[in-house]
Amino acid sequence: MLLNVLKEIKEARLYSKSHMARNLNISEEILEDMVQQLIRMGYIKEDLGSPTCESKCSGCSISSCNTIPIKMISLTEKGEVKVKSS
Amino acid sequence: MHTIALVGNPNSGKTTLFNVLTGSNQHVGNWPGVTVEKKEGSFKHKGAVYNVVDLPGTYSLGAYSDDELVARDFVVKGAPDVVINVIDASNIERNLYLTTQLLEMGANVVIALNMMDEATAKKIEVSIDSLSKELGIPVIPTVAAKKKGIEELIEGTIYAISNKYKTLEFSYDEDLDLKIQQLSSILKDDEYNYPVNWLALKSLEGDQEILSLISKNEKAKEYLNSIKSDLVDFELDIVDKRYSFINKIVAKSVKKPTEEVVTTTDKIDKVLTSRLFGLPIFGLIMFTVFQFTFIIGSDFLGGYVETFIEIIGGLVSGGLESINAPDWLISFIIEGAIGGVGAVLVFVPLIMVLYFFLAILEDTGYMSRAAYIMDGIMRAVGLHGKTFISMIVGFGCNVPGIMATRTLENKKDRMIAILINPFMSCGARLPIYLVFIAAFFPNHGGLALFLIYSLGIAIALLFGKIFSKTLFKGESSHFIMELPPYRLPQVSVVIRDMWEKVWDFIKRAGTVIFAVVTLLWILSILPLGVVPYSQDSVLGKVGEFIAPLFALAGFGTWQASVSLFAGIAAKEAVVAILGMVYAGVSEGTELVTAIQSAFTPLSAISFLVMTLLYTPCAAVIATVKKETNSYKWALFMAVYPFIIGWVLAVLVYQTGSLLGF
Repeated sequence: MLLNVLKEIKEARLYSKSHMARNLNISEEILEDMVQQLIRMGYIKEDLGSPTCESKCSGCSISSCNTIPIKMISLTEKGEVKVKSS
Repeated sequence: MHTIALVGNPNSGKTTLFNVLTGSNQHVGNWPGVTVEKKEGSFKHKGAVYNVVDLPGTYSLGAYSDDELVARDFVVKGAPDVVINVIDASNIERNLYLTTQLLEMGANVVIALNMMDEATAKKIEVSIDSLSKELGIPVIPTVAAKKKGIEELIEGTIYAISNKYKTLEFSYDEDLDLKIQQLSSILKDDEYNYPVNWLALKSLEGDQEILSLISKNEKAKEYLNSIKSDLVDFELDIVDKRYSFINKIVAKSVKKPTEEVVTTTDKIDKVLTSRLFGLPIFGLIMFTVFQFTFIIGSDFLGGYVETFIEIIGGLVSGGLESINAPDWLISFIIEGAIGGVGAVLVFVPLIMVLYFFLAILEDTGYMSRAAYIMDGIMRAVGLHGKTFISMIVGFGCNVPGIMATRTLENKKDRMIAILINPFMSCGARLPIYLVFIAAFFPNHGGLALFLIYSLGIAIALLFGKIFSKTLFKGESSHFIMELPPYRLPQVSVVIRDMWEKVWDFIKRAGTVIFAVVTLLWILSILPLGVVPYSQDSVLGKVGEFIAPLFALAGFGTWQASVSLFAGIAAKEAVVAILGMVYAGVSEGTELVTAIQSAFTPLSAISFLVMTLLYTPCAAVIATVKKETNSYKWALFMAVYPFIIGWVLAVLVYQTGSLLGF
């Protein structure tokens, strides 16, 4: 099951929980859980595409760091190896 | 006294159950060595006292957090007589992962299938008998919040204390079972506080805590080393087996209402993200946003700030004259501060409206779709799709835009994303566009703004393509973007997002812009005795020196030149300086009139192209230095956009002139 999720992430063009869960014939809840597991295990990684606000964006007019809520998921090297070897 | 441990996922109603079971007989402390809260209590039943320990809420029993470690250590080392696994009946699948781990540990588990009322409300039917049979442990339905099923749970738990259920035999696969067995037989010679089978399983799973625990066992280490290359697979296989087990159980015991096959979000996305309509719709939405920005921000709200600044200017001027303030002070405050900073502030309503609409797009989830649509285009021109995320951030400010490129692991992708980010028109450049649009294209404001932003994107894509083919070649990594369900925007979120940006804009006008204006005002009255803001002032001389450079672009005046020069300190300074240097100009409409006489529509377009593309502000250049750790790239960032801006501005002006505009 997890391998199928990995493969789906590798092949898909976008991550739509409803769409992917339908493709894999599992519920959205379990898919979400599996994705979190795969992240914890280091097979995939997730980032929110936002700048890290560790430093003040001083010197620019819009200094509040923009937080675009766009979640991106990609396979890590470990994940790539796993998919390739399967 | 018997001990009962409560284990469950966060929000499964575990603490509610703990409170129901123990009432006021509870005390709170900390687990030794960690800052995880420890709650203990007791209850009496038929004369016997039972100790209840509420373990931290956790989704699994790995070694990823203190909560998980505390929970699993107590279940294994604390040896509770019974573990009550509290499960949210409305979300069984997710909750059962923890259950499978408890069963692996060989714990004496009783399930409290809690929140049954919510499951019923969601039309989820659970076959208690089937679930109990499949798991091999008692399952007792409860609604802890309404104290339902508590007596049955207590009875079932007490029964389990003296009648431990046979632990479910968990099989992974033949090969894995064999390895667990082999490692167990090696580990059984040592004294651990854990069941050896579980230790073997967790070692194969790569659990760092357990691997460290058994590290003194040389034979175990040797064995693990001999199968090391397979370790990655074991981890995935073990977790996968748990999910397969859960899937099988749920298929037999849980019946959910048929989910909507095609959701509303799916239906909307079919159009909004389609290859054919996605991009035109995105363009149309942005055009509409810009159009509304002008209609509401300029026509409805535009006059208020302007009038306010005029009133303030009048009052301050009158006040200063009445106290016989020196001319230089009146000049500084009225022409420098109010004329310069005020020229920037009059655009607050427009900026407010623009960011209000952008915040709505963001909160509805449309921005993810925009990024997805652009992702396809980015990939088509050889750029990494994530680049567009940093580009969207760059629309606010290029500094966080460049910092957002940190999400690009590949150096090639990141360098390209950094170098093209300043072409994304930041908020600080908005006042420049707005004042020129007000002067020359007041009836086509939305379209003009749309074209300016589009030109920025087009130039960014073009140079991204050029860089990917020349300076930074290589393959980009694959990623997918989440498209969250659409939702109605929340007023509070939209207002907060908008206000953060507007407030930053106002703060900047009062600090950085004020400082730049002050400095340039001083230059505009020096040497002493010169006519302020004249060509003979130091500022005028500096502008005069630069001006020939822009003659071919149609704006070779010292005023335009010096404003562009000031714009390298901060982009808003362009308007502030224009406001100040056009003698006698205070703000708003008067600046617009002055610009109408100093520029032609063609030279205005050329000037807009230049300001869109030329050298980014100092903060951006400093950020490039910091992010690339290279003065070379910082210098490149200062020079190459200037050349591009200049070439395009000249091209626009000269072509336009040839065509008779």
